Amino acid sequence: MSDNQAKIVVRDFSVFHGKLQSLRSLTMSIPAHRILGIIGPSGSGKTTFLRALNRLNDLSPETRAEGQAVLDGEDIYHPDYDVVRLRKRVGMLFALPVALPLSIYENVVYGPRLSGVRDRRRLADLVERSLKDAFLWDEVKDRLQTSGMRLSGGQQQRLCLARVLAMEQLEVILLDEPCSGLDPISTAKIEEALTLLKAKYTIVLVTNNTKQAARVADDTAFFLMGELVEYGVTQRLFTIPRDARTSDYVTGRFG
Amino acid sequence: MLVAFSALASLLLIAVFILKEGVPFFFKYGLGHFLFGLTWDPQAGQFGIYPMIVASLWVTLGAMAIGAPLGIAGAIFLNEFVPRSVLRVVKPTIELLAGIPSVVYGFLGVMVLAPFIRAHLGGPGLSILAASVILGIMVLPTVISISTDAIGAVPNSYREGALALGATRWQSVTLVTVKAARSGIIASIILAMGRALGETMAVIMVVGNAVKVPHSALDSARTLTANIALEMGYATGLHREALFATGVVLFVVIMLLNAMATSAIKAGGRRA
Amino acid sequence: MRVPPKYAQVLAVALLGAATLLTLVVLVFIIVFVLTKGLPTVNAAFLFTVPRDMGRSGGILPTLIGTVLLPLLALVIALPLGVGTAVYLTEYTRESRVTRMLSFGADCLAGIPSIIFGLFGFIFFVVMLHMGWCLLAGGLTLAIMILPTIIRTSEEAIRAVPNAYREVSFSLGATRWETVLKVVLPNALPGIVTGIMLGIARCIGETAAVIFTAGSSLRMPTSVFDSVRTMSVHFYILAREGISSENAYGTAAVLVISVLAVNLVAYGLMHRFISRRTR
Repeated sequence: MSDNQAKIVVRDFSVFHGKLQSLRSLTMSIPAHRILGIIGPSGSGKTTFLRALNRLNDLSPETRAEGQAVLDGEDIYHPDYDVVRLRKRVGMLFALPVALPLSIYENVVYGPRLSGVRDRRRLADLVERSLKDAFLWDEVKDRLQTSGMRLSGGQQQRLCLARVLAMEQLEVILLDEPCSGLDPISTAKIEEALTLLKAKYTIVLVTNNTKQAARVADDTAFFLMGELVEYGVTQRLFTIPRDARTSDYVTGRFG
Repeated sequence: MLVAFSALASLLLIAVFILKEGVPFFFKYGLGHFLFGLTWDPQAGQFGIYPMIVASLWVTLGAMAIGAPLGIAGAIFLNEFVPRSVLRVVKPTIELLAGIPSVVYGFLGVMVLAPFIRAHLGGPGLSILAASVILGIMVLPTVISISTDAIGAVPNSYREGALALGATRWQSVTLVTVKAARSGIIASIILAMGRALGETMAVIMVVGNAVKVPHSALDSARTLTANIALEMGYATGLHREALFATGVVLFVVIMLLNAMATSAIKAGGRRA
Repeated sequence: MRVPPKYAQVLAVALLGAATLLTLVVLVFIIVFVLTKGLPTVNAAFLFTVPRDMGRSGGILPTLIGTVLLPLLALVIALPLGVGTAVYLTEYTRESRVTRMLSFGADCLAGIPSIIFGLFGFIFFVVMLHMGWCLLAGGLTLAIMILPTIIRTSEEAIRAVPNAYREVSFSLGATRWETVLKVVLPNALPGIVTGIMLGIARCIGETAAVIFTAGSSLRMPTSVFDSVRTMSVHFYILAREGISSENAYGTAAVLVISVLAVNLVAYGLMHRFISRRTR
């Protein structure tokens, strides 16, 4: 976890919702090609942090960020930074699966089309590769033209993952409790997909389920009330936590 | 995004042009003279619209006397005393009827209502009464639609509260529901007044259009709107200016009514 | 004397029910009356031949064409303006003094009676811009008249599009404009179309604003600078000048059917829209 292979570095990073501070001068670096699990009780600032890395906070006028968030050496909150380019490099998967009311095919090519990909052959290849990477291909390959909204919740979430993976400039995947509403089989498939995808991408997984973090995350960070309490290699954090609060949380004594 | 200003710009454009064409006339002719003059005789240069103001008032109030009680009664009945499924069918049907062109209403007034009034009540038939009835019917969909929404928005807990205290359904309506929905009902009446006052073609067809101060509901009379529409086709010079000045009077009154309706709705929204 | 509450209730319900019934009967009577009197006159010849002798005999073809062209032209003008305004109000600004002023403007415009639109269209388009009585002047006037309807319905439809769709679109690197085009507008379409239909219905039924701007020529229009007569205006002239009550009834029947048909389509769409949203 040395700084030279860090994909994302945040320094003294704070986020405010109106007067409420939901992230308190956070400093951490996120290494490339690993899965970072972020755990913590609700209201601890996990989701706020994730949305800040995609600058989705820009959409709510009440929210503002302070400090630095650096992706590959560039501050993503710099006024000159192109937020559209950022979001093409940093994909986001939401807690609730949201299939756009389009066909499965059109859902997947939404990002590439925005980037100007017109070639049908290339789009078809992207669809197949992304759906395979998201472990959905076998279930939908014969009905790519049906509406994405007709899929089950678990399938929709994998469709959303495929939609993120189809973006050709993608480097980082942010996942916000992606399995909170899913059945165990879909959850297993998404977890399996993630462990394979880290070879290509940097993955940040926010989860309410500490067992999920223990299963798939290489590193784990524990957030509490907007602060980073402890951050380390997953196995170490779960077996010999250094902070009493971490220990209480991972053993299920609160949260 | 300049297009966003299209509605506001249109409104201003309309206001500016109507005022520009009409207001100078107030100064040339004298506002008091214009509003309270008893004679309208363009050939003789006489432009008093007092008879039209009185006629417009009569017709509008008459329409409200018919349309408001019927409409509010309908809204209460549909909300409180019939199953939801009936409301879901009847309300769209009534709103559909709001789309019937006003000239059709006017024509029915001529063919059915006016002969009936002439035969049974006397007078020329084409009269303030006929216009009031036709307009009263025409504003029914407006009154029912908006009042129904207002009454429907009253939380059920209010009614249950009244019923739990031993009130009958009707008592809960008079004591609670109508009070809570009051601002919406008032807004519906004000908007309907604006519609009645502004209606032109249907009124021209049934009101008789005689330029004199009416003395009874069975008299023929001419409203402000009818005056504009009847003479606009051939008016020139001062005559045309007088018609635009009539338009200014109408515009100002209706804008005031709309502002009142908007603030009534807002007041209701704040309380709720 | 105090009436016991129970009897008061019975009496009140009876009165209210009678009032409701009366309302419905009157409104339905109007339609039935017009259709029974008018439909016998309506046939292919009536619809598709030109009127003769000021409309005393012959058909209504040019007025039918005028009734199609005028609302269409009004729509072509009002739709981009109305939807543009709605998009601006919902997607590009937050609630502020400016948006409140724009909404207020639309509300005021909605309350203006059609005769005032007629006066304005006459003095501005017909006289000042030297258009004369023509399709274009009528279309522009009606466009302003239906603008508030289109703005309001589009605004409601756009606000009903789930915010999650916008977030997904943004998170995939779409700009605001791309999100509006690819996600917001397609999903608001049924609501927007409802507004369009209501606007068309209003144009078809309008008389006062049309007669002073588009005129009342019975000739076939060949360009937007020709005067046209719509069915409403034709019917008004036939009825008011007592030219032919038979043809007046016939025209009224066609008029009522077209307006009801357009309104029905609008309600059908709205219904589908609402049921899709709640599913």
